Amino acid sequence: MMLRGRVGWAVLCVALAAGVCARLMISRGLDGVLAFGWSTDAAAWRIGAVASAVVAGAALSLSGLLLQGMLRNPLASPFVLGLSGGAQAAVAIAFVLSWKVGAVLPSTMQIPVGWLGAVTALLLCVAFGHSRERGLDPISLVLSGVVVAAMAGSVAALCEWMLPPGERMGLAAWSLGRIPEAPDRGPLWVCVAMLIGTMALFQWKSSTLDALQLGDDEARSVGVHLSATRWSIVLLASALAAGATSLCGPLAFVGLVAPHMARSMLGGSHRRTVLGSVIAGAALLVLADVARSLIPVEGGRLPIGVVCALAGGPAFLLLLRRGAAGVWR
Amino acid sequence: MSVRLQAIEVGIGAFRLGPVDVEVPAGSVTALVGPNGSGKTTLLRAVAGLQRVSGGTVAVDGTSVHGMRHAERAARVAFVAQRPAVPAAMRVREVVQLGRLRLVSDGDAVQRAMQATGVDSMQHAWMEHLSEGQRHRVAVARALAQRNPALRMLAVDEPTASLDPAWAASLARLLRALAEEGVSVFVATHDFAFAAACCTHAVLLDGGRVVGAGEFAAVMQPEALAGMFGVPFARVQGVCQQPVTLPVW
Repeated sequence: MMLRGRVGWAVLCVALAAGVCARLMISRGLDGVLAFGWSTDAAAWRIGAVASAVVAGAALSLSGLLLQGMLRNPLASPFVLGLSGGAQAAVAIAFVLSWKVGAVLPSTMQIPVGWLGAVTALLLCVAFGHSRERGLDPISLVLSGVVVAAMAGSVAALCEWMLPPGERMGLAAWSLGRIPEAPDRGPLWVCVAMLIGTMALFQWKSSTLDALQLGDDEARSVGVHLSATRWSIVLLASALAAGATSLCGPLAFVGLVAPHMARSMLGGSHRRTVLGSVIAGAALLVLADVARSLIPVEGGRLPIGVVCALAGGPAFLLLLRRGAAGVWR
Repeated sequence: MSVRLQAIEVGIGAFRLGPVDVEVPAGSVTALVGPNGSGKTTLLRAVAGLQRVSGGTVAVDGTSVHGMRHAERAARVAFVAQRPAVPAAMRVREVVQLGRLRLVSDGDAVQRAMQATGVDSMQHAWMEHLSEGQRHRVAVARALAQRNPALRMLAVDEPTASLDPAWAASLARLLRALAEEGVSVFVATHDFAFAAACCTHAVLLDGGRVVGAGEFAAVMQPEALAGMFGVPFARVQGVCQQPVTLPVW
């Protein structure tokens, strides 16, 4: 069902506001005890978690929207195409190398390192998902992404394995996905700056993103500079994915589902979906964090990455089924 | 005022197109005719400046289309693909407006383009809800929205493949009217009745080579087409103003 229009904007804004309010009122401590209600003592932690979730969710969603638009592929997302995995592997390698030389990887370095990993993963994915006969076939691209993501995940796991048990825990927890309640301010502000800059650029260039949907030849015929547009999307979508990954670890499917939520509620024109995706992604991850807080697990807190994968997986399969039925082409 | 294809050569894998040397006057409608794989679409894309050429130039009023900046080419050359992509969750009017992406915003031009192709009544419809033929009319409307005083060329690939006879006839009239405004129109087509209804010139392609070029009636000879397609052709009068060369079944 399409809610497109004002109702769609209202639904997205209410979802974000409800998620933020709910997250500010609840938290689950490291001991696994759930606390309800406003707490002045816990306020700073809760605000930190909300800020992290809003920024990471928005960044992943905008990254997914740009990738889906550029590749004309509704299954594209930073996680599916291996960008998150590439960023994770690159950060894990840098973490191990730093440890080997007796240093600690500065949190501000995680984003540029992760960005290199994400760009590499995306280029590999496009190179292997492209064929001369069929161009960028959606399914080939996704399959390439699965392989790239699996290889990147293995590299990250190997890096964890190379660390001594005491050093391993932090990297392992980050690899499972976690919303930091006390995020490092440097990376957080870098993410905010990248998010605002990318959002402003593509809000301004929203018609160019729309024209990409016409196909390569027709987009060029109406005046789109195809290679410049694609490179800017590759670099900025990768940077957003790397920023979100360095902040919260590799999170599955937020960047896939949130743009589709925005598109189904607001229509496909990027004049609306750029901002709509940012709101949808932020709302989705904050609500996922609320759900994570509410689910009791033995021995502490559920990693947010598990919630994202469990909730996002069925959404991915649904999109795949719709694609198989020829709903999108 | 003319479009001149000078020694155009294109290589795609093992396929070689050209050299193609053709000049058509402004205000002509040129049919590109040939068997499957003869290079019609490749030549059409080269003419529109969308296909990289390994040699030669396509000059519009003396300016090479491959040397034009993106905005200049959008103002001077419009193109409609054989199977236009379907933008997800976009309305018809939003798609037609993209024709003005690099031109001065002009609501009247968009409205006129939609009226000319009969899609104004469905301007608020979602693209994914349209039939193949309706989508193709939207694509033509998007190209017509690029109409401006500098527009010199329109390249259309297989425009009638999904159109019913009434809309095909309407499109033929539309292309003729556009040509009368001084726009050179190129049409890659297998629809010989449509071509006879609107084309003034023709280029015959076979295996990447030009085997005939010139005025439509002179080029579309049954013998030439029979040699190219391997089936007999005959001329039929009374379908439109000029004789139509059709295959004999």
